[in-house]
Amino acid sequence: MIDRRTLWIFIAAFIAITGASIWQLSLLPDWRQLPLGGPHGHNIVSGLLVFAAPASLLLFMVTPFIQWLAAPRESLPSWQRWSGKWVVSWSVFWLLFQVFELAHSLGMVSRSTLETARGGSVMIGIIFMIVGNFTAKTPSLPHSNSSQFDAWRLSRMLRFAGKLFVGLGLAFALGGILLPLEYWQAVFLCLMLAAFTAAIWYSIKLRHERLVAVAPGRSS
Amino acid sequence: MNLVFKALSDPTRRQILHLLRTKPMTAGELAEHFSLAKPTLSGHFAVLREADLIEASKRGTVITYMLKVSVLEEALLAFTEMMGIGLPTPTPLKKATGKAK
Repeated sequence: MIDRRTLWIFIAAFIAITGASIWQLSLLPDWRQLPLGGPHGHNIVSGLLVFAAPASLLLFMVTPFIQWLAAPRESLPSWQRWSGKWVVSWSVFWLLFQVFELAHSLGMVSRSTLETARGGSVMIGIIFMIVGNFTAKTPSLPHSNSSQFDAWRLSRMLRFAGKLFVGLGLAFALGGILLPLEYWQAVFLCLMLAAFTAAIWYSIKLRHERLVAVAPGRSS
Repeated sequence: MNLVFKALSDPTRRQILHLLRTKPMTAGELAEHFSLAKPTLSGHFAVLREADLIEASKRGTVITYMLKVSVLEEALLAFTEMMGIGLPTPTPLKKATGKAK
């Protein structure tokens, strides 16, 4: 499994985030009704939405957990090293998100202020850069018939995805600081769409490439 | 990070990473590109594995190596290649130094 320090960071972050969610829920007069626009908001949604952060944190842990289950024995030391970084990065991200949500629900910060939007964009950018940097280090899973790629193609796909993430992160961080906010939403959407299209294009390209056998003695 | 810098400081190891960019290769296939003794090359593979820049999979007696670099490591690789870090000093300069001695 992951090292003890990483595990403690994850557990502490999860407890803090869940505790904050429960506390947020206790502040509501009716747990079924959460005003979306802050204490005086008019859009009402289910109060269970306050558990979005802990649920998201758990969801982000599914990937390394599946890898741990499926990775071959020789890949486990590498998995341990790199998935630890993944776990810590996302734990910190969702913890900061929850702190912001808490401050927002107490009326201390507003989602609509320029500084908040810029800060959020820079934070997302940094997290994207950190995660993108080690995406290619993800241990390769054993080849199965259901998998789209062999180990080599998967490795190339991950390297490409890593570069996309880092590029997006850099753009988010710089755009958050430099671009006027009225353009930023459109630029943000265009960048996301471009990255998504590039990822699909690359996966199709890889799928149509001639198979390069990874197995020893069969390399072409 | 020290391990990565150490691994990338050697031109032979950078050449190995360069070759592995195109496809996964067996130790024998990689050896064909170098005029180095097998133990020397194995030492280079060990340094690259220690730095987690390549992944090795063993089947029988054959070991296949596959590139496994992060975005930052790829950028570092490109930078060290561009700067020619670890390359021998040009010959005329060596001669001049020798004469000076």
